[in-house]
Amino acid sequence: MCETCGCSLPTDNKKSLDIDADQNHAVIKKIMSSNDKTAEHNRHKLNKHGIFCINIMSSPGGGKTKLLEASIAELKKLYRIAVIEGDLETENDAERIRAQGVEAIQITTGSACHLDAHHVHQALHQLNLDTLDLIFIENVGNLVCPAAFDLGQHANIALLSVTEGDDKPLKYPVMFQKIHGLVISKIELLDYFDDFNMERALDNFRKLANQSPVWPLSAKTGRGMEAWLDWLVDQRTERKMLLNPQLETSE
Amino acid sequence: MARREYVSRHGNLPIDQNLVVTSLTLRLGLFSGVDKGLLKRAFQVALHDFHCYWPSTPETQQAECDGVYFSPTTQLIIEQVSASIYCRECGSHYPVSQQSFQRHYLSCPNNHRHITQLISGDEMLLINMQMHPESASTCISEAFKNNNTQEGNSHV
Ligand SMILES: Nc1nc2c(ncn2[C@@H]2O[C@H](COP(=O)(O)OP(=O)(O)OP(=O)(O)O)[C@@H](O)[C@H]2O)c(=O)[nH]1
Ligand SMILES: [Mg+2]
Ligand SMILES: [Zn+2]
Ligand SMILES: [Zn+2]
Repeated sequence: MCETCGCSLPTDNKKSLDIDADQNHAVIKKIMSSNDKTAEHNRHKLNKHGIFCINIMSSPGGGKTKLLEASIAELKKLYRIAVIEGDLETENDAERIRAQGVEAIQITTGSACHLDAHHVHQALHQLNLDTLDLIFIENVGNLVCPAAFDLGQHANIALLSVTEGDDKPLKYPVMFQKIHGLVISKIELLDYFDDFNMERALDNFRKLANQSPVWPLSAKTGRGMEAWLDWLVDQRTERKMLLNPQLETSE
Repeated sequence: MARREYVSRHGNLPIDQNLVVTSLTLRLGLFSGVDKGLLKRAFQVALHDFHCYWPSTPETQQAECDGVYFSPTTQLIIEQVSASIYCRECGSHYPVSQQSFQRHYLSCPNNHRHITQLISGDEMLLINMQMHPESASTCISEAFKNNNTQEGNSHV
């Protein structure tokens, strides 16, 4: 049998049988290198324009769009904002964002379970980066796949809604390990939903060697939003200073 | 990439020679987020599709795969490596295996209140390719012509 294609055409047997050490090729190649290269390119582009970019992840319905709506309502007084929407099936989320008066780019690449750096690269080309300070990326609702893909963002945020249970950090450790901040969302539901133990959730999160800030909040009632918004403003100011130290002192 | 690796080691590879890959070895960290079993299955599907649907004209062959082919029996070998954490309070490093992760996750084995950080474990590397040259005229184009059909695809 021919080793190349499995067909039964006569072939040069000697060659395909003599497997020797010569055929081994030790390499060290990052499997994600193509994505990572594009992510670096995206980050470079964002930095050049002084834009702070945040990737938001959660399970489906965790409250990403709602958090963005509530955050944009406050932040649009301070910053020029755009959102890259990874809700691949519908335009609903993008329309909710547009209703806030900011630009939303819908990524339309079939029904992938995560965004990759190439999606974001395309979206960045559709935005006028000179007129922006802040970009949010709403990732696809999924706690597994998005964790593996660097998009070029400056910070990863995950939402854990109180209806999902306080054990989720340990069930999806790869995602919760990587984030730079954790939003515990829909906290006003704690009144009806006492299975969720805030302390246990926090404890589980810390077991993943992650000391990032945690913001329990409700995008619906506005409770707890302030701490999260303050963090965003601080991060963005810090980054701006890092990229352009003169500018900040003259401002 | 495969061609470049081959040439860098063996001098040159004539245009009329294809490279046939027979085995790939990956190194995956405990925190890579990749499931070994799922990856192996996905690899079988990809291999099957490659042999059923790859364009069969000589031009597209050259353009699309740079004269690199996968044997239908290509082996995927996965080497899993453990992660490691550093405990600031103990001032030492600890390895994290699958088993120890189940016990105390990424917290310090001495005291789970200690502040730790993840040092390694998210590797996703290709570390070995087994491949050899084969004359481009032998069998590939024939075989691809014969196989390039919707029939026999078990997963559409
Ligand atoms: N009670 C309450 N409901 C909320 C809150 N935030 C979001 N929701 C509701 O939860 C549901 C899902 O919220 P979305 O913001 O659409 O969630 P998402 O993460 O964007 O969902 P996908 O994009 O589909 O993955 C909606 O019905 C929201 O109204 C909250 O703070 N409190
Ligand atoms: Mg949404
Ligand atoms: Zn995915
Ligand atoms: Zn310790």
